[in-house]
Amino acid sequence: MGSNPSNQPGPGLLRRLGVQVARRPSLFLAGALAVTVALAPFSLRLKAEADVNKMLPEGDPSLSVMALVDSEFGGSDEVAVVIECRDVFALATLHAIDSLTSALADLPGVAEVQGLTTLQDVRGQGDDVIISKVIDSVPSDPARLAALRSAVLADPRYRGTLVSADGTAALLLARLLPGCDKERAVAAIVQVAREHGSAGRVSLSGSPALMKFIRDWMTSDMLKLLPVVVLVLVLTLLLTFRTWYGVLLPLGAVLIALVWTLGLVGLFRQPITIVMVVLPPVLVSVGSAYGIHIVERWEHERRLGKGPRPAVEIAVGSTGLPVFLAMATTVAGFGSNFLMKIASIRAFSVFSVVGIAFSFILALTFVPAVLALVRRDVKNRPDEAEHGRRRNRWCANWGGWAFRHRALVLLAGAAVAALALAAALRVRTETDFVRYFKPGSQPTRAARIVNERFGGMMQFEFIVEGDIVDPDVLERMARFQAGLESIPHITQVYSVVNVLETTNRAFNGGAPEFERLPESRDATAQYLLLLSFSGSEFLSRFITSDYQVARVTARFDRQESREIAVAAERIKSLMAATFAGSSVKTNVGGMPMAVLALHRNIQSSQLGSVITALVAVFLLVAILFRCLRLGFASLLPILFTLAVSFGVMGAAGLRVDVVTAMLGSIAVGIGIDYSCHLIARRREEQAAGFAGEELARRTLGSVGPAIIVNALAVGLGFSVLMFSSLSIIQQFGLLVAATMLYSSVGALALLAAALGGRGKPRRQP
Amino acid sequence: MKQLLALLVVANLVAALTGSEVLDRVRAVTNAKDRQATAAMTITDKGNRVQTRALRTVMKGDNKLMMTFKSPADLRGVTFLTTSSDNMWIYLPAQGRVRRISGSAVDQGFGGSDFSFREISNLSFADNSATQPAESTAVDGKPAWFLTVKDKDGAASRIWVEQARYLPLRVEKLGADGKAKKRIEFGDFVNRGESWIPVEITIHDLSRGSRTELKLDSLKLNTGVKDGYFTEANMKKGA
Repeated sequence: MGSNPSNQPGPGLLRRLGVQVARRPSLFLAGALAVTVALAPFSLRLKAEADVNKMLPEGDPSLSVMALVDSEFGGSDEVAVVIECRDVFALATLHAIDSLTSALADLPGVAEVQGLTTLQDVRGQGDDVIISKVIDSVPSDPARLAALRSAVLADPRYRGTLVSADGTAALLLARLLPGCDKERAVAAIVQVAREHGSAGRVSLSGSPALMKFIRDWMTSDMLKLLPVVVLVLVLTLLLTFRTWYGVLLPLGAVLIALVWTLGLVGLFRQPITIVMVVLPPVLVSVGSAYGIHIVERWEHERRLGKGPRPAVEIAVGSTGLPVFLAMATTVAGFGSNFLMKIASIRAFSVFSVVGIAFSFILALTFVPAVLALVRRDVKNRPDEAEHGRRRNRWCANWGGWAFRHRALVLLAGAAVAALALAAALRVRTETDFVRYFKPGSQPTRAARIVNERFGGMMQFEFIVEGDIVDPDVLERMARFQAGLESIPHITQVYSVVNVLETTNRAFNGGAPEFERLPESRDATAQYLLLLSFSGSEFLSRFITSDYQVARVTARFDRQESREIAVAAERIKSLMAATFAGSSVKTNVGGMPMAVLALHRNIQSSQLGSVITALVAVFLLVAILFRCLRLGFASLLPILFTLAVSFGVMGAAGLRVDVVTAMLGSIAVGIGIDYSCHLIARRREEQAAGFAGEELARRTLGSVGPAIIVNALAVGLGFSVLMFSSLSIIQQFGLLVAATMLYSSVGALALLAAALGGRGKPRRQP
Repeated sequence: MKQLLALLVVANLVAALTGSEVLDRVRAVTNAKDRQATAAMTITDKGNRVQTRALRTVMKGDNKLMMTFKSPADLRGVTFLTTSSDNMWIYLPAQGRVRRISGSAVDQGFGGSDFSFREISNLSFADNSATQPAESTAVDGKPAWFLTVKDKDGAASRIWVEQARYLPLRVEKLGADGKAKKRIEFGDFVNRGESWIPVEITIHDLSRGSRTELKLDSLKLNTGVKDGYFTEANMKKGA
């Protein structure tokens, strides 16, 4: 990245900074130390957070419904405890399930446990109305066990809800208290489930459990992946510099920047989300390049015979500007993610920008301050020089070939981009959070079992506000529920309507023809009063005490946001048609709607953030190089990169999720660096009087190897994410790593060819 | 009167009582052969939504109780009857039928309130026994006994009893974890003959965040209510 300061616009500030750092290195080192000491303690405050609701913007309608369910109906966060066994109705298994149920119900944070041995029922028998548990006590004799098995498996309220149709799996739903420490509650449930292994194979699902798994694995990823990224960086630096300062300074600068950034994250009490978990690898991979450029230039000047401090002045004064441009374009790319409507992506945007800025500041202060104190001579290494010459020759030859065949290169690039674009049209957004996990993992498996055998893990929540005991309102609710049941993948629709129908039948001796709504308002109010004997919990899950707000729940046996979108459309039409002309207000929410809101927020804001990033880097390049043509040309490799990145995603069937949603803008932000390096170097060669094929050869010959090494280093840094425990992070790492390949090829081939050999030679070589 | 009360207090301090003795004295002063009253029930849920209900109650001994709703209009005439802890009936005017209610889950709440039927019908701690010696303490500046009791099912409660008159001041129902689940506060006792009856009772469900206030009016004690009063026919008449 060597640049002549006299050829760069506006380097005065950087030159002055270089002089100050060279004169007072201790002052800058003390400053870096002071900020580190001040911010480091806050990085210990970091807390992982994986709640999908916290990703949505405040005021999202799905959140208001969830808040209402929390405040009025005791919440909807349920941990699904799946028990697989040979026979649920075996005596030992029933006892074990009962014991597990009791142990779960006693846990702090657990409001209630719904299961075969806790489920309440209202039934009629002669003149008696019996309000009791379905299984008051576990029967011990085989005949009663067999009778229980037959009765439960014949009843649609239990079969496929709490017991699988074949009787080999049972489900316990532990509802958490709103506002409780969900992580602690789920951890306690995991512990209790582990202690009750005799019930069968126990696994957990439900959003609080999945969130806990994601949080745990995110935390373990943070601790596991960062050292590997650092190791990759150390190896890259060792191969590049083979000196202690060449390894330790860029690494130290980026690690200090990381401590400062995470300190600010902790200071502002921002959670570490699934998106923020990629921040450390991103910062280390991207931010280290700035220090590398400074060290490279300092070594170059030292080889030319400059002393440590003059070399620092030149390194900061001349290399500072291209490094600034690289930083500014990366900031533009990462910063454009702030336009996304997802809170965790916006937080990532802010802190990645801050982290990149810190890396830049430290590369221009901390790194040269230490270099100013290095007294050791820098000598050429003969083997390295020869190796470098070969690399440069190869790149120069490629530059010459690309110049001579520029039409072919551009045509090939356009053809690849066109093919990729066709495949990119198949890319879909998908915010199903079970996809965060690897196929075959415990959470994926448990989710599949709940979906296939128990009617689904996610629950739609419908709120009906009005005079609920009005027979007309109840009748509409009944019609609405019947309509819901006809929508594919919707199962287990339930509300106070079902409770009243069951009670009506029970009050009338259990006669099936009375399994219908009571006919009058008084009868409804009186049944609700009767049900109050069974405790308010029985009713309060579905209707408020003043009978003004009712809740309808419906499970959904799929998780994909595309499936949810289809169902949501039908639900909204059904809701509008059923309650038209009524005075009641209706609303829909629940986890499927939160997932859908996330899906729509990504869809609606992703393109905007990529376009913003493109416009920002265009303006930066055009202004700093004072040339509109270069601004447009710099976009060429980026557009190629975007087309190929999304084309590969489309061809591989990968989906845009909450993390890969940032791929486009990150690709712009990092990938533009290669174009900037190439353009800056080409300007230097032009200024030196070269043109035509020679200009192309010299440009590629000098900057080509640096671009390849940079892309390899960043790509390798990101590919470390493939060791993540979470599938979503693995995909992101590999996609960004591949993006580095596309953008470096874009710069070295397409941009080189597009720029051609135009230029006015000032001096013949 | 004040001197007498002071003497009683001093006497109590000198001769500390066992928990059972305190409980016996509470039963003695709050006991009545029968009682009739109208009651205003105000239920306030955790969202501060308020519902009011008017009832007429007739009670004999510790077991026989008939309660009839007078308002709101859609509940008017609904009547509950219990003659023992296992026998409970309900009359719903809209259905014109009386049904016996049974099962393990019937004693969780009454009329949407925070009272269970047992709590509302047994305010004299008839089936409770003290598990520890009474401790001397104070409630709102009044000298009080503090004792821990258990009912016949083993559920524990903490009771604070005014030392001067042996009137219950506060009860906390404890869960299996030993933490208070419900708190009952007694206020404004009226004296009829030898009995002191609380006419204002507030119950707080501490886990749900709701509360129910019960105010008794037109209280009559020991009027000679017959056993034959507690019948299906009288339920249908609306008591």
